[in-house]
Amino acid sequence: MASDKLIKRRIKSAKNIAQITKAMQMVAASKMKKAQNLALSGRPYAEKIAEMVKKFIKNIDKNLHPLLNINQQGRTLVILMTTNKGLCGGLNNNLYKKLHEWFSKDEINNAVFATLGKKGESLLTHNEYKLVADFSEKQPFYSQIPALTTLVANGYSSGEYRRVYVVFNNFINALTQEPVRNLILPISELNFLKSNQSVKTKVDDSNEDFIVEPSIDALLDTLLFSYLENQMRDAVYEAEASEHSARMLAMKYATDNASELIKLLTLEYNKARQEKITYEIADMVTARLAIN
Amino acid sequence: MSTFLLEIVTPVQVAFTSLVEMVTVPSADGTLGILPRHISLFSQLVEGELKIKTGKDELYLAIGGGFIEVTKEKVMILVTRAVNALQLNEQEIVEAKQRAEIALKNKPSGASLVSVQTLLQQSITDLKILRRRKLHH
Repeated sequence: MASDKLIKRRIKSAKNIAQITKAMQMVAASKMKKAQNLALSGRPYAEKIAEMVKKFIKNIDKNLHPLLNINQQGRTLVILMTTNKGLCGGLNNNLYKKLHEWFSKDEINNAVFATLGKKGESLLTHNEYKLVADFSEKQPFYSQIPALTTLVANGYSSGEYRRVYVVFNNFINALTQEPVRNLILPISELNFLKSNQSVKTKVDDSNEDFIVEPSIDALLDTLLFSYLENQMRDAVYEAEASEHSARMLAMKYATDNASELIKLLTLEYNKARQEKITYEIADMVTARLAIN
Repeated sequence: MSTFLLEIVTPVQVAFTSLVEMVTVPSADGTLGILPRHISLFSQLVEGELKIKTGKDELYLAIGGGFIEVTKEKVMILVTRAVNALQLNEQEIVEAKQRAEIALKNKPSGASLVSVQTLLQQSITDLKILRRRKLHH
């Protein structure tokens, strides 16, 4: 039986841990709210720009721009968005496991990776996969999006990449995050009609005449680039919201566990104390009996 | 006078949706004025000021680069930012402009050059819009 002093110490440290995890849970909750708002407020823009791209590329020659080409050769580029910090439950590991379900062994070995988030980077380098770029250093992640987009656009235009995927945790609600893999290039293989598209605007199929200024080439360049950028930004926001909600949940479980532990330890402490008292009484009684 | 539906969307918010009489936007080839029944158009927008006219009211917005799409049903403007003159604070803008000018003197390159140039361009547009608002009042 542990001495009551020892138990008391353990109760104290469990209480401290509970306090810390509770604070972390609160911080994660407020961060999640912010990230969630960002993710939600970006949606109309993302939908509109997808709509524009779709409308626009339907009426033009697919050979006009290198980003519209379909590359027959080249590698698969996977952009893996994880977190920089741990303590967020199985978020990163689940994503990593899913990655192996989506791609066969050969595909993964032949693919090249770009990462946002140190956890993903260390998982990939540990397993000796080919990492071409890591954007984990600078926070916040969305400040890295222009650089990442340039990497993707240049690589695809030069025929280095055949397909480009973004792999991240999609934020569904505070309790659920779902690992997803989105194909972002080639554009012509994209499924524009996503199920979450709430606005159903009529897209007229008539080939109505559009005036395009300044020129189709110049416009395509910026339009496609900002489309790509937007896709990535969307993913980053989703991933960030997922990270904070996962951390919030993990910290909540930790707090719950700590409280449970405190309860058990208190019970044990009381038992030990009771036992000691009973002993003392028994001692006194026997002493009394011996004297008499 | 007849009107048309104008929507201005940025990555952070839907900045404006309403029926308007006229909108003037800064396109890559110069300023574009759009009235109802305009021909279908797709164009690139640059950093600058956007003017919305409804009746006697005139509204000025500072916008970042983006796109405009004119269709029979509506006019859609997608830009990186759209700030109303009322939300602008002169002192902050002047400071931002100075920061950008100082940073430019240090001859940055690559990504930092671009971000400093955008900051400078943005503050110049913002200041223009602020001055215009002061003239009106």
